[in-house]
Amino acid sequence: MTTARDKAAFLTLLNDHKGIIYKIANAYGHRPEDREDLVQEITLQAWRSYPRYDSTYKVSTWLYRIALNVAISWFRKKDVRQKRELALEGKIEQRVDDSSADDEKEENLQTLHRFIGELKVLDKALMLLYLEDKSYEEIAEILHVSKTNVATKISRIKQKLKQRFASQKEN
Amino acid sequence: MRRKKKTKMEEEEIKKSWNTYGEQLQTGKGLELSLVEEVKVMKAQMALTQLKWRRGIEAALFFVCFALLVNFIAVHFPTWYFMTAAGVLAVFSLIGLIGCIVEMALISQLDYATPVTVFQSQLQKLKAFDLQLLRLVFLSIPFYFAYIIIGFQSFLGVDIYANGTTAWLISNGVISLALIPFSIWLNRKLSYQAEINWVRSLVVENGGKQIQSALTFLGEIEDFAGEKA
Repeated sequence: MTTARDKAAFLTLLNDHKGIIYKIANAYGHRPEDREDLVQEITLQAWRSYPRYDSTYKVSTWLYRIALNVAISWFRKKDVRQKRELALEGKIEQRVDDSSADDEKEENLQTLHRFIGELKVLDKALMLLYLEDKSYEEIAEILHVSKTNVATKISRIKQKLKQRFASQKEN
Repeated sequence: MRRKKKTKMEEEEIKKSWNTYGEQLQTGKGLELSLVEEVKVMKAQMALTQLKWRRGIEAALFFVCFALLVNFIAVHFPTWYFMTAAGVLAVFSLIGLIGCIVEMALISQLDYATPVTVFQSQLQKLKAFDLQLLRLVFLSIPFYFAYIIIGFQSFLGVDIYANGTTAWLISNGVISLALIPFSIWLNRKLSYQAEINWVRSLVVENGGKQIQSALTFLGEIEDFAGEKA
């Protein structure tokens, strides 16, 4: 039985961390309608999971797990052709409206989005968590992999990212 | 040393861009609970619900088979070979039925707040459940004679056991015994990572794209989690 107070508490919690939801929805869903679907689905699953929320974990850990699980499951439902189309559209659409952002920052962000878009679903999750400055321990908790594994994979991804930015500068 | 410092700076620059982007998203449109209400309407289309329906249909089919076999036993009591044949197949149907019910319960208990690789692995195994049903079919291969006895009696009204020659009955008994080790071997080889090509093809052919995709992703998850390393 959910009360109005529960709903209010959930909404406050969700809005305090809505950046997480939007970032993941944008990373996995490239078209505006897909992102909207993902935001809805993440919100629904968070609401369903809320009564079981274990306060020994940070809210962000809990929400990252839900958002990533929803996004990965959603992305995997798309067939190969749709995924290819999404990746192509993503290259054009993946941005936030911000006229104040300077060109270099915008370009960096575009390159970063393109790079994230090309990663496998689980590597993508790892990359997002790395960019969020999460500790290896928290990343390991969210994904359920060892800290050593997290460190190794992040180092590999960072290397690829470095190469991508280097080739961008050359061009 | 200088190169390391430069890399660190580049890394910080990238993270800074990402943080700015995050801040923009955080100050953007607020989330409302009405979103949840709207999504409830779409609930019927959700993947887990579809999976639960599929298991429900399979459970219903197993139940029908079980009920028909129990009825067959009751009708043909006390003919021992009819009762044994139907009894064996009824046990397989019951195992299938229980399996489907357990799967439905597991689907209901799936929690999206579970760590990502664990949840995704659970989900893919649930999607690949048809593989377990395939194993059940293969385990029943040595009992093929039970299908023949029941089939002939039910559809043609012929008591094949009573009409068969002793030599024919013995040869079927020998073939059944010989099939036991093959059936056990095949059951062991039928796994999420079937290594033998024709066994893998068998899994894919019988399970379709969904199983194939689930099996591939299970492999990816295991690689990612480092279990194969």
